Amino acid sequence: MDDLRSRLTEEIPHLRRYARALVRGNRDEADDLVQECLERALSRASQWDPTKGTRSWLFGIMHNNFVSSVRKRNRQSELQRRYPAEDTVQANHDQSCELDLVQEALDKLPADQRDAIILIAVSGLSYEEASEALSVPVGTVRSRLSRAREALRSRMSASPVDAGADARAVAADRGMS
Amino acid sequence: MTGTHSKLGLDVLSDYVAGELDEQARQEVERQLAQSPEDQARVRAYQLQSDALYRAYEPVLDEPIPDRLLAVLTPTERADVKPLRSSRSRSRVIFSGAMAASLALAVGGLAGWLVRGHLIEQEAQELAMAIFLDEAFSSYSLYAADDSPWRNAGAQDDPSAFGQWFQEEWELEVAVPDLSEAGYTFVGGRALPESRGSTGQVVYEDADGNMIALYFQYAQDDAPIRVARGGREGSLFEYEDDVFAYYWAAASGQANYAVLGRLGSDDLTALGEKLVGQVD
Repeated sequence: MDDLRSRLTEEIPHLRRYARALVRGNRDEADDLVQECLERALSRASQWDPTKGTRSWLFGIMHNNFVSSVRKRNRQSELQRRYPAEDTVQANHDQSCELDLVQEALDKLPADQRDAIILIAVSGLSYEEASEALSVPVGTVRSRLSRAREALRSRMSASPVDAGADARAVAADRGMS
Repeated sequence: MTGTHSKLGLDVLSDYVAGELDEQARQEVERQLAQSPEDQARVRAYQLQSDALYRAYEPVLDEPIPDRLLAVLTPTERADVKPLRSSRSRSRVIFSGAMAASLALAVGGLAGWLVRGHLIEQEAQELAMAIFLDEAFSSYSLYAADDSPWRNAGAQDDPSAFGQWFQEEWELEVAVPDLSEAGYTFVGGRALPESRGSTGQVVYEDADGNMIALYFQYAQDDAPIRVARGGREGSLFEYEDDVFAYYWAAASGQANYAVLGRLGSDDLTALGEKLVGQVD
């Protein structure tokens, strides 16, 4: 148990970084996720295998938590939409608009692609580790990552200046007439 | 850059950026990248993305760990762990400095991503167009210029057969544009070996024997053609020796064209504008 505790302590900075990316930079919400993750890890100490990747195990726990909290929140916001009661403006929004842009770009990705690119580009996991954290095959991680990169690339290269080039290249036209 | 074509495959480029290739595969990718401006640009864009994402969140690693998280892991203090959503004001004060530092870094990273990402696209397009024009000029010099010993050697000189012949060579149907109204008659055409796409050249001459060449590259599935800057209107380019080229891209982005000749720039532009309507 003490082994696990000290291992968990080492992992806190990495968990916090991953959580921060998951919740769009909101620090308190991210630390809530980390706290829940640590509590769950302790309560599931018997499932911990020190010979396997602790980080991907923890990331998996946190990811599952995050997914279910998003589902819960979606249900709540559905209620709020039907019965609007309180101010729903997101609090703690003390970020620059540029950082918002990174997060906005991530937000626009489908959830499975976002998961892959956060684990690999933000948290520096290998395909293998990301596959363990997400409980999907390595090949799935690989193709989700590739699609995420391509989606971000085309969005980023198209948005600032040259939206016209893509519009011009619509239909394939191969013959000379 | 348009389209999602990649000679190497998007997954492989992504693997390369992620460092997930073994040594042999990595070397092979690097060898092929050297031949492909499109894939180079894509790899650099992916790398910038990764850098920006990494830098945006990296400073979190150096933040002090909030007490409430350490408390979870301290057995004797477990009773003191506050319920979630209570200890916020304190941690906010503690971390505001670190947050400001992380924002400064993130902004630098993102601005780089946006601005450089676009410049790389532009660089790659310009590079691709430079390669195209260079190849066009080589073919013109070799097979159409007045002083070349291979002038029109080995060309297919029947305009009606050229399409069939080109199709056999490149599996691509083309028809020879008619320039008789402009005073040019068909001399011959050829398929050309090029690194990118299906390439060919058709040569015409006027009554005085001045030759012009229409040079073209069509995309193959694994070899994208880039849209020329300036789009369909076309642009004029002067090579050395008073040879001009008027070049443009098909509206589809699937082909590039250039008409070359040792004519005045005005005459060549007029001819080019006529051809834009015919072949596009």
